[in-house]
Amino acid sequence: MKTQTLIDPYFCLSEIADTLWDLYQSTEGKTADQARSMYDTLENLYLEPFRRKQIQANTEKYAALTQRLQSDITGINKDITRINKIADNIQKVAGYAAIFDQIISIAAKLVAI
Amino acid sequence: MTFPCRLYLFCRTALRLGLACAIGAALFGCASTSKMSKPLNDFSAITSDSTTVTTAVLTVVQSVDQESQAIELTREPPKSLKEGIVQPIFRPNDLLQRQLALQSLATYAATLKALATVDRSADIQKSFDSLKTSLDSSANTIAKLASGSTMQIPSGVVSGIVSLGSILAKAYALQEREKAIRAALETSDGTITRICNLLSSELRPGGAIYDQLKHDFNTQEEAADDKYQATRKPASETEAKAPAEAKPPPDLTPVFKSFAAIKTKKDYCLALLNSLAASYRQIAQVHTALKIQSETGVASSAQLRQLSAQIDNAKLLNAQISK
Repeated sequence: MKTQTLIDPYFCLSEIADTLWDLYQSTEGKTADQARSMYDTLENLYLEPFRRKQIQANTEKYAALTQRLQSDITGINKDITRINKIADNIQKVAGYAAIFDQIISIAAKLVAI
Repeated sequence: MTFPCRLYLFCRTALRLGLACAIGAALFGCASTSKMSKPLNDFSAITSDSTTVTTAVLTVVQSVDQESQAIELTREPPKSLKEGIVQPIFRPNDLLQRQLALQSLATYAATLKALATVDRSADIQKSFDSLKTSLDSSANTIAKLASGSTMQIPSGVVSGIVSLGSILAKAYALQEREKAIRAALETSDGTITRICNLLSSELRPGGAIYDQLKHDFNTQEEAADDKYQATRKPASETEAKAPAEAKPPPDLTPVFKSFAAIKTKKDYCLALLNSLAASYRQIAQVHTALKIQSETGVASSAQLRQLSAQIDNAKLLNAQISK
């Protein structure tokens, strides 16, 4: 079975654009002008529109991921509240014990009378 | 075994428990801080810094793109000005969603830090002290009422039971906190990895934002070159026609300066984007390392140090761009 390698057209065109830019930078005169013209065409007609579409497509992904992360943050905040509630509940028990003690004291005084 | 004898044995056991609890309390006092507190604190600081730098750099990317679009429009002016001729790299929603994702990352890390630092041990102890006072007082009142009874509650029993309760309550609260940290890191690991990978894929060389910024700077360099050629040309033409009457050569210093400024900004911006891409790859790795640390105890300090150094680089590059 033959293995087929997937070629990324954007990657290939970017490589060509980079080479054309390097050629424009390293030469003078007609060669430089031609390299620059080809670089501009490649960038403006193919690569730039592709990149803008890519950025817009990723925006939807960011929105979905942010929503998921927000629900995780809500979950953590609920955990913080739950853990704090343990101490609050014990505080309530201590309060009830104080009331119970007062009732017992009053009852003891009444019995003494 | 008679009932008073059983009561005596119960009280003796309670006293021993009380003593054990007192020792335990001292030990627990030291362990009330989560072992995840320090790494999550560092993680929060790093995430906050990366959010600040990335938010700033996205604004730079947008402004450079706007300048380059203006240059391209000047080269080939349209017949009339219509809204469609301006195609910004980020539409308002594109920028907003990226900023929201970055903000969520920072908020998530800060919330995790808050969870790791939840420590109500002192409040629990205070409540149990109050409980002890009330129960002691109630026990005394009951003892006075039943002074003739053979079932007196020996002193120390109440404090022993209360100390035991205090230890158990504190241990329960700490255990719940550690369990919540583990669960949070486990649940969010996939989402954090996906957000970081997405950011990294856009900011690395070959990514949409990186390549677009590079092209925008290239456009500015081309414009500077055109300006240079235009400034130089008339002078050379005049020299060729009438060398004797030639005007002094034009001052090209501002053109060189402007070109050098564009080149420097380009180098710093691209280096910063690359550095941020590496940082986000590492943030995902550190999050997974923190998840493993919460489960197995294997420290993530080495990865955190590496990430911290990477973020320091990004901050340094960002400072150069802001100058």
